[in-house]
Amino acid sequence: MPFNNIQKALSGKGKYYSFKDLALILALALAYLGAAKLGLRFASVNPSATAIWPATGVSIAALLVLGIRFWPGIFLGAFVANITTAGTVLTSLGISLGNTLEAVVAVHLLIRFNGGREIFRHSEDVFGYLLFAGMISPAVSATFGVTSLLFSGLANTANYFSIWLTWWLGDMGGAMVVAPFLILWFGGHFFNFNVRRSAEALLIFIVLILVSFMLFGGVFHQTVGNYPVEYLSIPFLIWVAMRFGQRESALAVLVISVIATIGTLNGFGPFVIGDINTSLLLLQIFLIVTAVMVHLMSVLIAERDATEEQLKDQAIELQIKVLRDEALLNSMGEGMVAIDKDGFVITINRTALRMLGWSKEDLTNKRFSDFVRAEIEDGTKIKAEDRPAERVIRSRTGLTITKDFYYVRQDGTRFPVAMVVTPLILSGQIYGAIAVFRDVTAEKEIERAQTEFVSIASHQLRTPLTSIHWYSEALSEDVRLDDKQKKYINNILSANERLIKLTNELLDASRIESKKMPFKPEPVNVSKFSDSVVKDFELLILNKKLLFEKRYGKSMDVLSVDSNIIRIVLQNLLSNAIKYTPEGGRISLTVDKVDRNLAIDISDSGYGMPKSQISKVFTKFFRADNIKTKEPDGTGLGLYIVKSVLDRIGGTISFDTEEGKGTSFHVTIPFQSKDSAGGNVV
Amino acid sequence: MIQMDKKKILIVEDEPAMRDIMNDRLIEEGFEVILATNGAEGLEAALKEHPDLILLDIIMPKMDGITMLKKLREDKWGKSAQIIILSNLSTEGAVADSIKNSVFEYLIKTDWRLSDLIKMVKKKLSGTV
Repeated sequence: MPFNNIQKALSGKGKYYSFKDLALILALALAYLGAAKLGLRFASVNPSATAIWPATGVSIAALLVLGIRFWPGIFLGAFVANITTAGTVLTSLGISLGNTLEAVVAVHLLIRFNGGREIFRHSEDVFGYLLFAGMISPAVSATFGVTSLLFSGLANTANYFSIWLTWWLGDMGGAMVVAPFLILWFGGHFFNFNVRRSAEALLIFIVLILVSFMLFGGVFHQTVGNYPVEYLSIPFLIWVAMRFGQRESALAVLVISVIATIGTLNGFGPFVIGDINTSLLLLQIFLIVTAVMVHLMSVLIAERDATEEQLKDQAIELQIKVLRDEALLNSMGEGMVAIDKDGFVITINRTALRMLGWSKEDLTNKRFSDFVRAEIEDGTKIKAEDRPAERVIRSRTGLTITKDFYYVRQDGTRFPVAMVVTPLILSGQIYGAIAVFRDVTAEKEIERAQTEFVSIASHQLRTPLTSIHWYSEALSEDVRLDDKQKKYINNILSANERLIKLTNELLDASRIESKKMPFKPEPVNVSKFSDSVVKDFELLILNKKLLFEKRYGKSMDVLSVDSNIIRIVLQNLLSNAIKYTPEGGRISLTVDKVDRNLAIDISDSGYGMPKSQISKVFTKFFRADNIKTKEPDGTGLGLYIVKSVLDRIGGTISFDTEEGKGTSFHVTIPFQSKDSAGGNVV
Repeated sequence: MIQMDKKKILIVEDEPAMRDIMNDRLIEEGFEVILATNGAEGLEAALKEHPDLILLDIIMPKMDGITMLKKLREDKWGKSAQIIILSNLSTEGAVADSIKNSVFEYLIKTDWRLSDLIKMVKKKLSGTV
């Protein structure tokens, strides 16, 4: 149990170390020991302080890749390395603690502030790495180490700083040269080989090694001596950074570092001046700067490549979007043309091209009005500035064209067009307009057929009706007829008149449906006009002994409203009220101005309508059950006609009813019908 | 009634039944009646007889009423001839065409009783319409 607790404490996360972990810790300890021993071979200012310390690279890389919890390996390796080098158990403990803390601090800061194992994702990461792993954490190690030496008497206050600097720079070199190499090569990244690039890599590394030997290996020693020619390595390092990745860059830095260090130790190269420690420190500074530069460059290149890749992806995405939009537009059943604010075609879909008989190349980037003539019914050309799209661009409001507009095809033939034009407004700026249009030849044909039907029906049906009408009328006036014969003739006459009325209503309904009934708002004296309609019903009202009240609002003299609509409303609603109110009942009519509407209310104390049938009141041919038996004569068209007419001009109709008590209808007629700006045809 | 005072009415109507009943009633009322069965006949009769009033149907074979009306208005006498359109065609266009040719009485046959039609004719001839 105590062992488990220790394990738990050491692992820091409440997790136990597995045997595999313990083996890794041991391996790490050995690796650290090896790297430390290698570094200590170059120690000169103090047996424990050296300008070359690859062990820092090993420790940072190991904890960053494996996890901070593997710190005991570092501690163990460092302790063994130190206890077997110089000093006491205590100094070795202090130095080992510093070495361990160095890696822990570096890894903690890198994970916290710098992207952790992805050490060089962005260019700023290189500087972060230099700060955290290259400067701060080696300072921890140097301070612990040199202070330990000071306390044990192995260093003194006079040489404290020079030992500290050596220690610091040595660790920095390990952090900057060795650690990136280990992390990038063994940190879980996968290799991907490419023969052509591998060949180039091989070439550049051979060249780099050769150059390094020339500069630091004493090849030119006889001719150039120790001249400062170290910068000659830079073009080759840049070559690696630009042509290859971060991993190759790290390897290149390591290669030049190893060769330069060996060379310098052997007295060759530009950094050999005075004592070996100073030479190594100067070399260290050169290598650290070189590492920063090479890694920075390779990151910038990687970033540039990533941006390029991203742009390429975006370009492809955009292309897909364009293709998709084009497919969408081309599959539209309607023609679509978008023009810019000068009338030039931005885009046009396949349906539009097919309808107009032009090819895409003919029209794209051309002024649409120069190629496609627009004209009205009689063939008069519509001037460019009066065409719908141009009007929309000027007014910035959409437009719907439903009649009397033709496009002329490339071959000179034309077709009637219905279109909706929408302004293209981008952040408040008018940019152009989009017209969506269709060929309404078939609709026009149907409309024409409908009109023809109405005219034929009105003539063909009415002619025999008129004959019966006039002949039975003439007969009924014949003095020679006896009473019975007279009664029969009168029955024929009244049946005939009902048939005429029914025919007229059917024709009205048909004309309203085919929009052939013209309505024109014009100044009307509403009260006089209403009186004239009411007059026709006076006899009926009198016969049924009904009480009729009418009330007109003030200033009803001249209002701009369609008298035809008032007539249809009054005639139908009054005749219903009279017909469906029993003898002695009451009917009232109110006509008044409410806001911008003419309001007509007609109430009766009649039969009312059953609740269950209220929803069908405005349906064509509908007659309520309760009045079918009382008043068998009726077409069920009156309210349908009233409702249709009011719908067309934006008026309303509503009602209250109670069976056995009566019905009130409420109608509003707008003073200016919504179609009044257009063709006036409802 | 003296022959000279008799007002002359031209009925242009292709439907025999209509023509006959109007003819009968107008003669009963003391008018002189001329009959034509289509626009071409009607035009010829009108230009020859110069009737006081023409009752003109619209839909007829050979020449329709509107065409006859237009041709009549080209004539010096015809320009001011008194005409009542008496048709069962109630389309916007036909009404507009007759107004264009200075005919303001456009009667839908089915809407009129014969007796009211006779009253209308009398009014028209006495100049009160």
